Amino acid sequence: MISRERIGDLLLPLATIVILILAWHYGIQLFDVPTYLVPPPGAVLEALNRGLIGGTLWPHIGATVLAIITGYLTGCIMALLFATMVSEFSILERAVYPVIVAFQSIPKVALAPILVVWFGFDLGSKVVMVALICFFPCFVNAAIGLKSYSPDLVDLYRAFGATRWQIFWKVKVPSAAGHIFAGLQISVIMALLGAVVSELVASRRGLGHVIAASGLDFDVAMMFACVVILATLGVLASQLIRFVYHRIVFWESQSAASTVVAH
Amino acid sequence: MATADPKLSLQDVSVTYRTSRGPLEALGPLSIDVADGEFVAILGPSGCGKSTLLKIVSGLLSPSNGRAVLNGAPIERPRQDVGIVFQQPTLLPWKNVIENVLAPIRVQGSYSPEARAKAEHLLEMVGLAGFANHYPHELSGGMKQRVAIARGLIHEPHLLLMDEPFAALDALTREQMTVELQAIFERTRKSVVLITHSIPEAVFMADRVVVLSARPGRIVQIEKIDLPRPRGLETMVLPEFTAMCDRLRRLFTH
Repeated sequence: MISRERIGDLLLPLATIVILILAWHYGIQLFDVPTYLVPPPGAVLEALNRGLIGGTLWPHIGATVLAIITGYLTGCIMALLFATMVSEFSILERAVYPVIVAFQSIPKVALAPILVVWFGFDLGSKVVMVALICFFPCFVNAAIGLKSYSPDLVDLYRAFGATRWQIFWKVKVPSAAGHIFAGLQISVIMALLGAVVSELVASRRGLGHVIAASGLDFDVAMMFACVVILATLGVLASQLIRFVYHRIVFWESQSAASTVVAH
Repeated sequence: MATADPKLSLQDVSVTYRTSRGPLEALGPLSIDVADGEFVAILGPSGCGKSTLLKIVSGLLSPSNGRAVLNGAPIERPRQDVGIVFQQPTLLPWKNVIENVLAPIRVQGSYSPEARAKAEHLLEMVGLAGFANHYPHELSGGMKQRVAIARGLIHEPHLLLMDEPFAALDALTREQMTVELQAIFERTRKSVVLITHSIPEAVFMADRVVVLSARPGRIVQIEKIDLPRPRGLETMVLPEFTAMCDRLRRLFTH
């Protein structure tokens, strides 16, 4: 049974969206905005229809999603490995952590053209970009999470005679799970950003490429359509992570508090 | 109680922490023997080094001086013949009750269907039959501490160490748990070291009460408690009980 409150939680945001679309539709009529600058919702819908039902957009969606998934997994797995090393070996924490934080101040978007030179126009440069941009939020949250265990619990496990890695797997990792998921959640949105930036800079496929190409054709409706698809992808991915989080970290009822939001 | 063949023997044990403001004497030197099947309560004010003492006996900390011997062997590292119950239940929130009880067994890699049966039996003993598949967040504070006690007993330790196990509970639950722990002790007859700062709790449960001074914790007095066993709520109204509590209380309020 879905409770009345849950239905409200679904319907109220939808109502907001409907109102925004109506405001958009009537706003451009009212203020006489030229449609080559802001297309009406109907035109965007028509572009979506052209792209999705007509099928021209699917290869591009596929390319973007493939880059996101590959890059996200690569970046997050690397982040978790580094977070493990940094949290378990204090010498590495002192040697590596400040360097990673310093690297974080580089705007990764500025690296996009370099990555294209190194890894080419196709999947390679996109995956590297997505991985780079996903790394930090996941790393920082996991590193903090792996230090947020209860010292009593660790003492208890030591008293049981547990080895260091038993303590790591049985106590520290589950204690960090909430933080890790918070990092994964932030990273998944960053992954979208990374993929699109990469495609905007130089690419022959992907939604970012379609946006850039449609811009040259003054096909603003198609540009909007791509943005709508990207937004939908973002919401879906983020909801998927939330769903998995609630399934796995069932003992933390509240949504991940005490998280570092970093990007 | 005879201490001819002590289960646990602390010999001139002391602990000094090095701090930025110079050495800090936390404990002792003190010597305590606990006999097989004996219940010793260690009573002291806050900051008397009780937790330090617990860490020594559980092998988490080596004394700066002196020797700690359990079952004839010096305590040099954590060992598997000691059960521990902390002030906080310290359960794994992501494991259900039975898995929490089995945690020491899992660490030692000696899980078997018999171990599970034993865990179920222990849960029954602490009054949690039927809660095996509940998670800690579904239990009250008193129930969680019962799980912790069952976990402390699962690997059949020679010695059960308890660090103010009921301090975090409300007064009513606390009294009830004290009576129940007493009953569990009389059934299992483990050696027990209970660290507490409740005088009635110490007198009610223990065979001997060791009174420690404030930092550095040293032995002020050892009192033998001769109240008849089994003890129950009626013990608490005996004149001997009240007299002993009074005597101990005076040690702290001279």
